[in-house]
Amino acid sequence: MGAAGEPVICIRNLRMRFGENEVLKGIDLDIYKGQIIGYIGPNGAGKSTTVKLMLGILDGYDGEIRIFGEDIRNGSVEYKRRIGYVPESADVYESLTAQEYLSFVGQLYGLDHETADAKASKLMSLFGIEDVYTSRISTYSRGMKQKLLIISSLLHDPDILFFDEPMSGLDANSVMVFKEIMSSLAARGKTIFYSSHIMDVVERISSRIILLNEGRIIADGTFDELKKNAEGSLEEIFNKLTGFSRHREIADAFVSVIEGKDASVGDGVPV
Amino acid sequence: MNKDSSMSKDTINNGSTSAKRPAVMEEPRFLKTPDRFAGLFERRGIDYAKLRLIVRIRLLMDARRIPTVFASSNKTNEKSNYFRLSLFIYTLMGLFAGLVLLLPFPSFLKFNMTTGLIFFFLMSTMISDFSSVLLDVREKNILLPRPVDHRTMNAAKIIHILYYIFCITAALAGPQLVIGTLKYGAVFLAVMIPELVLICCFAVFFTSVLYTFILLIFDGEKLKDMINYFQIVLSLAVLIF
Repeated sequence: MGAAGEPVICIRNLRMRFGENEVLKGIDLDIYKGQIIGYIGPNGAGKSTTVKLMLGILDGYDGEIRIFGEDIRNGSVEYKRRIGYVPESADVYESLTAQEYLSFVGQLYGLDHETADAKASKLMSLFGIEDVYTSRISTYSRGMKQKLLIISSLLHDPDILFFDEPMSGLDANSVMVFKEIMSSLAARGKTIFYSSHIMDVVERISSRIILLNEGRIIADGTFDELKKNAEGSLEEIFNKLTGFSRHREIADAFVSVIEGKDASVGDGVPV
Repeated sequence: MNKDSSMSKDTINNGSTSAKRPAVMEEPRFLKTPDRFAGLFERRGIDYAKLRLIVRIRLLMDARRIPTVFASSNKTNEKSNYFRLSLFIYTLMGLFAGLVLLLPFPSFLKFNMTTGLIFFFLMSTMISDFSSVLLDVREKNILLPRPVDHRTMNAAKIIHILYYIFCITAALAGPQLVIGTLKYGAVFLAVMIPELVLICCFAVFFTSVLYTFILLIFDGEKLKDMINYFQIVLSLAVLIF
């Protein structure tokens, strides 16, 4: 699972600002086939922004992004056929049925209606939700919707996957299945970007961990390599590298406020 | 994946025995119109096949969206095409406007009134029903991660909006055109049609300016609230009449 020739994703000096705020301050990254990247960082670090720039949902960046060897500035969107994305914001067309939505998405990716429909219905039944295949998505529970999102990101057999909290809303059994799916995909040479706040999962499934903080990469390596800098679980390493050590203090103050006592701790710096 | 351990269910077959999969959504006839211009789109760098797909899906969602004029009814039917039904109601409203032409008032006043009524109804419908389509931000998040470029997405949106406005205007102004032509002759038709086009343009322009203005002073949330108030007022008005 190491370097296998050309990187599938190559980012050089990526900078991005929103108005006054510089969100990404020079990201350099090479991603190779078959890697499962645990892409982590505090809120606002720039993780979603990086993914959205790679997918072309956002624009206006400085620097270079090459995917499958092509600079994505050249205007073609065909590279997106080989990418699957499960965003954190579960945006779907709610008034459609799963069948209509998946067929639509499949056709956007270049599948024909029959193939998309056949694949989609099989995937839905493997996830145990075939009963609602022809029901409107607005009637779905959280977990069903998440399964639908996962299916819509994999239907076209993409080579790169961007997962942002993909397992939120899934029950424990589904979580196990999904983890197996990810290992299986990686073993077949797919590249996976896994972004999550749940450190134990990231720790266990990633072959490479990239920690982003305030627009810069502050750690990049396997979990073992990261442990050389700090002891403990990934969560603890995260805390150390992002300079956070006041969790007990903040928690005490928080509970005090709830109980109605005056919380006169520190300067109220948010987590 | 659920408590029934679906692996053992026999739904995992080739799928063709599932009787509850309905046929592909029937093609709306409207699509034949832009089809003729397919070459024009391709030449401007727009992927026509994808554009067609997107417009089709938007039309499907239109059929399912419940317009304000129906907001009071409780039962929602799976199979009804709400858009078509709402057009029927607008035709009735248009009839009401058209009948004004038969009143014994000076022509100038009558034409002003009918034009005004059309404009008012068009604006009301656009603000109450179509805002959700015009101001949709989630569209980008759904389409752009897929191999769809900005231009195709925007072209689909424009075609959809044009179709919508055309339908509403035809429904609202149809009765009036018929009555007017019968009463005043073909000249009425020849003048009214360009005028309707101008009214539509003005309605879109006015709505856009209004939204921009509101967004400049307030924020998105306030705009959504105002649209909601408007919908409430409109529903009440429909209820009362």
